[in-house]
Amino acid sequence: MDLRFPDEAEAWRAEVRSFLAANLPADWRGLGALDRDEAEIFSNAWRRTLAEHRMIGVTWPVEYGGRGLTKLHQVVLAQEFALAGAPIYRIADTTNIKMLGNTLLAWGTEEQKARYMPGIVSGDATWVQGYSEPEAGSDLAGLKLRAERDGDDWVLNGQKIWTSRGMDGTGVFTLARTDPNASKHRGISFILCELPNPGIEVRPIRTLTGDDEFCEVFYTDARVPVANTIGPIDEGWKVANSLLGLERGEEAATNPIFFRAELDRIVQLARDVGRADDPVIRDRLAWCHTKVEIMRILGYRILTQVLRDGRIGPEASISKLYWSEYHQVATELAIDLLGAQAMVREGRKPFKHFRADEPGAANSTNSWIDVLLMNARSGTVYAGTSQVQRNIIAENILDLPKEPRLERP
Amino acid sequence: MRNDTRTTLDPDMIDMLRSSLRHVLTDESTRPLADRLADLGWKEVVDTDPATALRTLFEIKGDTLSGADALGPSLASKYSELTGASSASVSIGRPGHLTLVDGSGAENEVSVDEATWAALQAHGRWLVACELVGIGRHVIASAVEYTKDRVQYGKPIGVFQALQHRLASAHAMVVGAGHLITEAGLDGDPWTATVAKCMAGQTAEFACTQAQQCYGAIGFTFEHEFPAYLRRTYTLDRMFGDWRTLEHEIGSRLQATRLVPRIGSL
Repeated sequence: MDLRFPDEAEAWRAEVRSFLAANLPADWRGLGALDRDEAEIFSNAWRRTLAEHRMIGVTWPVEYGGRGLTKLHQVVLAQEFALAGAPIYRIADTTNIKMLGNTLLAWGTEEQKARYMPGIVSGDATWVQGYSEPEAGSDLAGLKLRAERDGDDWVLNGQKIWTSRGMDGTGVFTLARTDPNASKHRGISFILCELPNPGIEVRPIRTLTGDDEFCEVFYTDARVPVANTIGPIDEGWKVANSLLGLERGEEAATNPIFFRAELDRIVQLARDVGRADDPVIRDRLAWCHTKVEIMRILGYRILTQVLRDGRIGPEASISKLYWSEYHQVATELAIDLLGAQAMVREGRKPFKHFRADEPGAANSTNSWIDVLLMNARSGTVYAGTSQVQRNIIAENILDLPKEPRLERP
Repeated sequence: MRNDTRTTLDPDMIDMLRSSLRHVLTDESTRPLADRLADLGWKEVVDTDPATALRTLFEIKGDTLSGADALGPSLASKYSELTGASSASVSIGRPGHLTLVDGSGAENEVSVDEATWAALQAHGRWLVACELVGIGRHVIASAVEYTKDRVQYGKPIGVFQALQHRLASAHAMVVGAGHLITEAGLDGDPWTATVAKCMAGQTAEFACTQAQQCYGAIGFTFEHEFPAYLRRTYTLDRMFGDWRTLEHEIGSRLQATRLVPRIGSL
């Protein structure tokens, strides 16, 4: 493992730093230091600044608004932004840029790219994800939402659920079953459904933190052009799965930065509440510290692998288990430090419903209640539960026999 | 085995009591809980077997997630038993301080001696421990039902050992904590109450986190009853010392006294 970055990456790092210095407000302390209204205004303006300066999708070709740089450059950018506490895009852009933008570039036709990439880059479009269904969660390939062909259109019927930020969506990229006779992982297609569509209705689900984060999406004879299929018809499973490498590589580099910043907040909290000398608290803080350090090293290993091989192996499951289980312990510590009043809500609620609160967030009960109950507790469920990750480690790393009772065609 | 002469409720009585309490704690009535309990002949039940009566009340309160205020009036009864002073509700403040609430809702902070305060805190710990055990038992039972119904990969997810083991571990803890709250009720010893509260807090938190992992995404929404149990658990665990703080308190006392107090008749 070589922890040094190549020279060209360091030159780019300097460029990113000077961009941040020139464009962030002089008194910038992170999105979390702004109240929710200010943060919303800042995020939208910042998103436009990033698009104007081609800081969105730097690995994308120049003709699609990017800079044609390497994945390593993207990782350096993500690192520098994380260190500066600056968002790399709006929260809703996770599915928009990371997922759909990259998928389109990998699988889209020239027409599709020309039609959809500009909106994704500018932020005028916000694509949300239509993957999970009420009966297809961990078993995503068991999805049933049906797309039947009628001339040049697909006619979609069925339901999606857990669509994050669905209410903000200008379109849903939808996994639909286009061949019900094929085996489970085949016969699925990846279809772009623009909104509004008279056959598609998005309804919010209230989360336990009281936010409209998740949505249900109902499709009733929704017509969508067959031309909106990304990648080959019936091969949507492959299309959807091709993304993980890039996403996980970037995460491996930025997670340790966010979790380090969060742990710094917890250490500060321990001082603030006068428990920095408490041996039990110190013990728990030290435990957290070692885990964040391991995450950092693990992150570099995964990064090295992604950059070298262009993809990531089952080691991603180790990383996912690591941070998600760590985060529950760390946030419980924060709640314990807040003491008897911990569950009495006060202060700013986080925007982000995954990982740590925004950089600069104060140690308020609202910050920690939401981060514990939603962000941290859901970490072992979303993007493959801990049980699924352990199965992957057991079967693909330890080479143990597959669970006998699973029907896996 | 225990060999004493205390009067106890027989099993049939306890079953009846359970179903009546369940009714009282979940009805829509806005009448004070004390009045609704009085309709049941609660005083007689408590006089017969206070440990079973109160434990059952708080376990069912946890199970049903009832918002009825049972703690304040129960502490008031205890306070009256200890000092003869009457009040409608008592809440425990910093060491040596209580807040008494009279029938009209007027609050009055009073200072009490250390022993009285400690006895009330221990009583509060025990009652909250009972409620936490009720929560733990409920969320595990619900998660068991859910994993039997929820189908993924063509099977109910309950067939997966990854989930079975989680629920089994949580169940074992709930059973253990259940025995501790029973003992704490019988021996009335503050030490047992503290151990029971520590174990009950840890158990309810563990049971909730295991159950939530079985529920998946639905467990993060208000469509489901679960989040309310999770939040209640975090709130209750923080009353009279969260379980990690109590663990520390217990450990410190063991070290200081070099004595391991006996719990129950074991």
